[in-house]
Amino acid sequence: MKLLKFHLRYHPPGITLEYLQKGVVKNKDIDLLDLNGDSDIKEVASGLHKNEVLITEEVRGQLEKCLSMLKKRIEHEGPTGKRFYIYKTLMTHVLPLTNVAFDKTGSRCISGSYDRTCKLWDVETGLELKTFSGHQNVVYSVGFNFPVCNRILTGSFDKSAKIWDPETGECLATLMGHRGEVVAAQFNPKGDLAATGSMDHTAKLYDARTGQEIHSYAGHSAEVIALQFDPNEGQRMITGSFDGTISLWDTRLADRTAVLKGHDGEISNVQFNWDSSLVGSSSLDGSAKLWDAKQSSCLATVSGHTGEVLDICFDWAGKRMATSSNDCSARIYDVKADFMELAVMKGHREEVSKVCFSPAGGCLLTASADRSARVWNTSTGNCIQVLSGHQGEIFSCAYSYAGDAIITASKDNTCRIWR
Amino acid sequence: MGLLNILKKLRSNPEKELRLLLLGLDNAGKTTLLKQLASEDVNQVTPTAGFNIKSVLSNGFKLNVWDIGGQRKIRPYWRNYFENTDILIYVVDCSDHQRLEETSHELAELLEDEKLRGVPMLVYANKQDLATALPSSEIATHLGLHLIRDRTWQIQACVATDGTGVKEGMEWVCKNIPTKK
Repeated sequence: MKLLKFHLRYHPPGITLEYLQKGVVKNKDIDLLDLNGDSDIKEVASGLHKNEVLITEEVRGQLEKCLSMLKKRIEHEGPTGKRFYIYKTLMTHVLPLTNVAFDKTGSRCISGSYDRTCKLWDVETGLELKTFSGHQNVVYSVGFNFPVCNRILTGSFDKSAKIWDPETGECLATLMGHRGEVVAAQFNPKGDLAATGSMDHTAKLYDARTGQEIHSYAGHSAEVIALQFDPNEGQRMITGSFDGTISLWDTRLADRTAVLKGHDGEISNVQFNWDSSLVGSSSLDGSAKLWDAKQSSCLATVSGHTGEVLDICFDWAGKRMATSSNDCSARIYDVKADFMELAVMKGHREEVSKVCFSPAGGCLLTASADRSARVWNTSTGNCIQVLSGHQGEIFSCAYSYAGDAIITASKDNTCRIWR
Repeated sequence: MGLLNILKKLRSNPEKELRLLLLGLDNAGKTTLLKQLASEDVNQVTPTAGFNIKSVLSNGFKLNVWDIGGQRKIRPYWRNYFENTDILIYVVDCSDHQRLEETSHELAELLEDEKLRGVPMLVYANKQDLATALPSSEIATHLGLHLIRDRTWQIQACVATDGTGVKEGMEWVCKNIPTKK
């Protein structure tokens, strides 16, 4: 075995060893989830050297250089982070926006709208690159196939989902079969599968190339409004439903592998953490729960919010989770040790409908019905910045992978880019 | 009301919860009517570029009222909101003589839509406080309401800005709620 190259992975921090084994080039990923601004690079390097045969004494210097680059990347965002200013207002949708997403490089973003289109934007110039027309009703969910980002998946109230080529604007496949609005849709990490969740109480799995249905997942007794593939293998999937339960599925099987029961109200979102060991769920019952994905058992219930919990997300390193609520606050919890509440973000004047961590984890972004988005310091809970300017409530928001841009989408028919 | 709440309102409604769809040309008074129903200040109303949703309690029912922007360029999107509609409320500006034909044309199209088939309709003949307003009987004739055979309907004269006639219209709505499957 011979080490060829180090590759850096910024979020969550990690390195990939590219090596040669019996004439075949292979990759090995090593997570460095504990790396932070205070890490001692030499110490981390010796640890890796000790545990990994590929890392020999000769490459120690190179490894340390890589680690300091990773560390700088995290420090660069810092605890107080950069300041964002309105950079572009995208105004060509004629009706309210729904969801938005960046591609991996952060150079393009997509938006869905009540005007039945999805639009692709150039983040740098603010120009509309493509309009994807063909849906007969609201385009609700939008997403790229990460990390390649050469396909777009849209879910619509017209009961279908569509796969598009962002280069040509062409619709490559229409995913049919749902009898209710499609309100969640995602590619698996390989990009060969697409899954949809619908108001018809089912989720479906499709071949992303042919558009053929592979499985129809029945089991929920109410609307399926959230869905996610596990971020690693992409063979497992979770769905959250208004029936108050979360289901786990295996893409190779037709029946669900587990049901997580315990919430007393509708599920508002479900998420895997980075290594898919945990599932986080938020519910209109006012609580959020953490589940062991393998044992299908509830590890913790947090009930700090005084209202419905509307959204949940993990940080990229999978160590903390954030929740938002119609009690106008967002909260951050530890998920590795004691599930303690780490910070409370108060300041929004109306419900906080979306929450997401900055890629390096130093900041939290929230979107609210009070027409503002806010950036918060995740350690102190202090508000760093208020992003104001939208004329209507903000429905969705996203951070670019590099953490240097934010998009917000509003009921005011515009999408804003902040840099 | 974030996206999640919109999904909640999109569900095929449980009993005692109704979906009311408020349509009509721009400047007909739909948003003012919505605010009047929700007992909110009606003085600051601007053209609706998208939609507004409010929930109102009336006669033991929870009425989820969807007020949809009426400008010409967004009328083709009215169909986005038709699903699961229990009652259609069509608002007419009775003082806008010039656009009577336009509004009756839009209404005729609505009534032909499959998704709204059989849905009871209330027409609010709005702006009765204006001197030039036509009486509701004449509006009914213009709209051809008497020719409607496939649904129950009612026309109610009203003044959305001060609430005159609004309550009477809602009482008709509550009496004519279709029985749920």
